[in-house]
Amino acid sequence: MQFTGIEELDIKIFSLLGPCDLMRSCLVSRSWCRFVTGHPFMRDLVLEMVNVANTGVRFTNQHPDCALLVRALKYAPRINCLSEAVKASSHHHEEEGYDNISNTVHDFMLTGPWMSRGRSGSSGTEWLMYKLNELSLVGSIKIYLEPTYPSLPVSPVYGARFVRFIFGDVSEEDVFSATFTTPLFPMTHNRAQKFSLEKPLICINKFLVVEFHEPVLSVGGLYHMGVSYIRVKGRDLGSSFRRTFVSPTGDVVLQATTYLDPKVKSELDLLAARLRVGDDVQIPKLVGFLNDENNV
Amino acid sequence: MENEKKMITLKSSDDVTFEVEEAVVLESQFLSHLVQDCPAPEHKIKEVTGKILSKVVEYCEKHVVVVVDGGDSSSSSGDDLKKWDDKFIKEMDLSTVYDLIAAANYLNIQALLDLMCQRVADVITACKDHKEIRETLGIVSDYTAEEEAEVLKENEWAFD
Repeated sequence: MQFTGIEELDIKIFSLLGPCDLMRSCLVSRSWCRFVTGHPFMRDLVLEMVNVANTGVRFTNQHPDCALLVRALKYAPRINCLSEAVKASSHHHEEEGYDNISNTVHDFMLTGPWMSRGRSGSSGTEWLMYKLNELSLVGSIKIYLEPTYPSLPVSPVYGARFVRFIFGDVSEEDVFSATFTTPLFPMTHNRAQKFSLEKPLICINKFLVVEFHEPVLSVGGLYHMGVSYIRVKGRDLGSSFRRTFVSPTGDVVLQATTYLDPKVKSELDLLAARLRVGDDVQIPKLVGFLNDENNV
Repeated sequence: MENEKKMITLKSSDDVTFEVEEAVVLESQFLSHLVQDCPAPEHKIKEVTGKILSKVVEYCEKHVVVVVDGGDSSSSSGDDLKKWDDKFIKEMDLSTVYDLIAAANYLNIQALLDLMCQRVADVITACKDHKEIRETLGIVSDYTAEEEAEVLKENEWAFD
């Protein structure tokens, strides 16, 4: 490199640059490109921008993959990272399905909201466990205590004083072990409240436990906790990456599936989705055809 | 505090001498060890030229004075110092900045080193594209046109 002739100092200078500066630097000359891609500048930037719920994340091609991730943090498709409901600490109703936790992954109310069995004191915790999408980037979690649709006023609303979010793994023996835990957030809103993580959290094959502390309302001497809908807002890293293997140290190794700019890719995917919607134009014809057949 | 300040003479590689207070020398980890270990009145610094050493001395004198005068009493002295630092670096061309980085590293003056490295980083950040970086830093590209187009494709998003 040509700055000071002392590699350690050139490293110091380049580690002060942002992601766009690093990308531009690659274009300056071959030696600049070798220098930038040969050092973990981009990886260090990424690790400053996110938290990781896994032991660690590595990349098959460190520099370009980290650059892609920087871009994906901003432009990967927005998704609800909840994949499925797993289990709850308890249920209020014995009837199958009535207050099942799987009701909380929909924003419409088929049966009842989830409700805990109830405990005699206001201390203690109730929790809900979910499986997250394979390659999730979690930004915030929104908890609806009241149903969103149909918007029936539910009275009373069973809230808690605090909530925290625990990300972790479930072993083959069905034991949950935490790998990333947020601080306790005070629950101050009656209807719905959004809880933002300090930094976006990379979750690869993770489970989420939403843990409610100190239910506030007692009915008939029992403290219950009730939830209508939970949405985990984030981005789908699966649109640009795939999981390859786990290193002996427990680091998950990611590989880019495409180096297409996530911003462009999101736009193209959106366009493709519109075109698919275009297919709906054919549906009335198809229905007509079926009706005709029925008439035969 | 002693009334009579201890003076030390620094001599650059090209034999330019600077007479400075001991407190100024103590800004540099390297020099403070040197002064402690061999209490000679004059120290030759073979690795630094007179031009660069004068900048180092100017920086250290300013920072010593502000720290001694201002203490931790007000933040305005901190702001003044920052303004002074800004002016100090803006008046310098890049080759002086590189030499000063090397000197600050050799003499182990962390604050000066940080300031100068940030200066180079700011110059790169201020460029709108790789061509401007080349012009500003005087770098000749060794990419062929095809290679450059290829790399540009991979790095496209850096420009929006």
